[in-house]
Amino acid sequence: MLTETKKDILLRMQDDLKKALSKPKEKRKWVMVIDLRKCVGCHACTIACKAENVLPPGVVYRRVLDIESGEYPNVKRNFIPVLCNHCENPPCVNACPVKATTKRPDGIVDIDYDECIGCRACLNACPYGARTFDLGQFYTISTPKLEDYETRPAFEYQKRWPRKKGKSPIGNARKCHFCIHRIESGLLPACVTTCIGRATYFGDKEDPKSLVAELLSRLDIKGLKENLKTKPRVYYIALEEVPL
Amino acid sequence: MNYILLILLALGLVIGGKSIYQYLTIGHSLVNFNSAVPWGLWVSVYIWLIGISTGTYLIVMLWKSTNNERLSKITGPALLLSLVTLPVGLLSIQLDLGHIERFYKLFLRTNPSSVMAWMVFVYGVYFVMLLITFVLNFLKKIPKSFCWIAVIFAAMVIFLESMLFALPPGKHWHTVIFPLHFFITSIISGTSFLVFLAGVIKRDSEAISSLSKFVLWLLVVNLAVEIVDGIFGGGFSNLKIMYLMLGNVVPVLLLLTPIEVLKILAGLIAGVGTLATKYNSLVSAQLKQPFKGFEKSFIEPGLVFKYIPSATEWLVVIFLISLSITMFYILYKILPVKE
Repeated sequence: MLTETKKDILLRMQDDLKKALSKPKEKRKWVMVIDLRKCVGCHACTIACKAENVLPPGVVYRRVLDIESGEYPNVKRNFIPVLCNHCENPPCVNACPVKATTKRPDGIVDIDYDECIGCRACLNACPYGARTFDLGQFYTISTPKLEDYETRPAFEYQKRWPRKKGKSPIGNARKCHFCIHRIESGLLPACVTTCIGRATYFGDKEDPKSLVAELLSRLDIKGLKENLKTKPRVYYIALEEVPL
Repeated sequence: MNYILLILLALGLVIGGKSIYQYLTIGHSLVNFNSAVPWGLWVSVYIWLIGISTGTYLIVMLWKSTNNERLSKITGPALLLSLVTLPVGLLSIQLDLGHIERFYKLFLRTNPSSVMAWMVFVYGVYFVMLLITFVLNFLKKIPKSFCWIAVIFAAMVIFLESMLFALPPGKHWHTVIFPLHFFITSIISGTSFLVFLAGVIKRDSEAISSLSKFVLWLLVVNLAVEIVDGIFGGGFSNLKIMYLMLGNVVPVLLLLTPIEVLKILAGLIAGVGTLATKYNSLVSAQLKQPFKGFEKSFIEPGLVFKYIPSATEWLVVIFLISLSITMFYILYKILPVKE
């Protein structure tokens, strides 16, 4: 087993991250690997992401598909976390009419909230349903007071984004950005650190000694909808066993 | 009759205008389009109005280019219809933006790989072309070569617009038949309203007879395309069956009668029916989930694969339609388009 190292995988990924950050941005390529055999479908990653990025109702960056297959008594249940695949050929980048969504040198597909006009072309262009639209809603809108956890600013793309009416990110397309703000501060994405099954791996594909690079050499590793030629950068272990 | 129309228009503008004001001040909580169905009624109305504009223009210029004088009496009003529906269609799509105030970025930060960005400039050129045609028609000096260019350009606008919806990979509308379907429905909407205009404004029997035959064939072709689309993946939802019956079969039956009034009515029904066609092809494609179990993977308002337009969305549409008719009415009275 590749992951059977003495060191905890989180600590190893943390070290890999620090090593990658010491390189120039264009020399690192961030990827995520998800081991579907380990995912228990707890949705902790979804909730951690929601909390980390202060996501309002209707906006979700990472969902977990719950797929049942087979017939009694041979029934199987699989869980597949789905998020932005940070494709090498991202259809969303081509669809955006104002170049608000771009591909960074480190492989992350980002959104410039200040430039996004909210046309939602990218939402329809994404074959993974990874993007959502911020309608400006709040969970506690019909209660006497908007709770602080909803009004506090998000720190996506290393900027402060307070939730104010008519201001971005309200009225924008939103999606997973691999927690750039955390990565650049030397922290792993929130979903990775929260995964109780240690099913989510993150790191620099360009570093041959990194944990993700080791995992990518596996034969049973695959991306979602590879037939669309988008070249996703979120890889799954044992995806073929899931009847999608 | 005129007074009733004016009262209805005033009501539509006031009630719809109030809804626009509420939407601009309160925000997106008043609309029902969401992350699962990002493009809803307003986008459907946008493609419908642009379809009317381009369809009308294409047919009038096609008739002119072939020296067919049967539409000569309604060329002016037809061009006016094209001219009016274009900006109102664009207003519809502008209202649909998450950040309306940033629309100018479409000109300053144009992404050449985006069809949507291309469309902004194509509409600009199309508008200028319409204005030139309008003036040339007034001077009664439209060169034949210009007519052909106009026909090709109008067809290009429709096809390019269909590409806006045909490009996303993995969606149902990523089919060969979609651009064809889009083209036919745009021509139907334009021609149908021309039948209506010819009947209501000019009482031009020659134009009604000539155009209604054309609409009849178009509706039959559209019915065939809809059935093929339904068999090869699109399915037959209750809405689709309903609008095919009301917007396609009923007008076909009315057009088969020799009664002129029924033909005019058929024009109106078929023209409005194309809105349902556009709405259905747009919304049904978005209702397709990217993965099995995607809808239930995270349940929250705004993520539901369901879309029923809200009251605000409908009222804004009433405003847009009232605005189109009002603009047409006023400009028809002011501008020299009657002859």
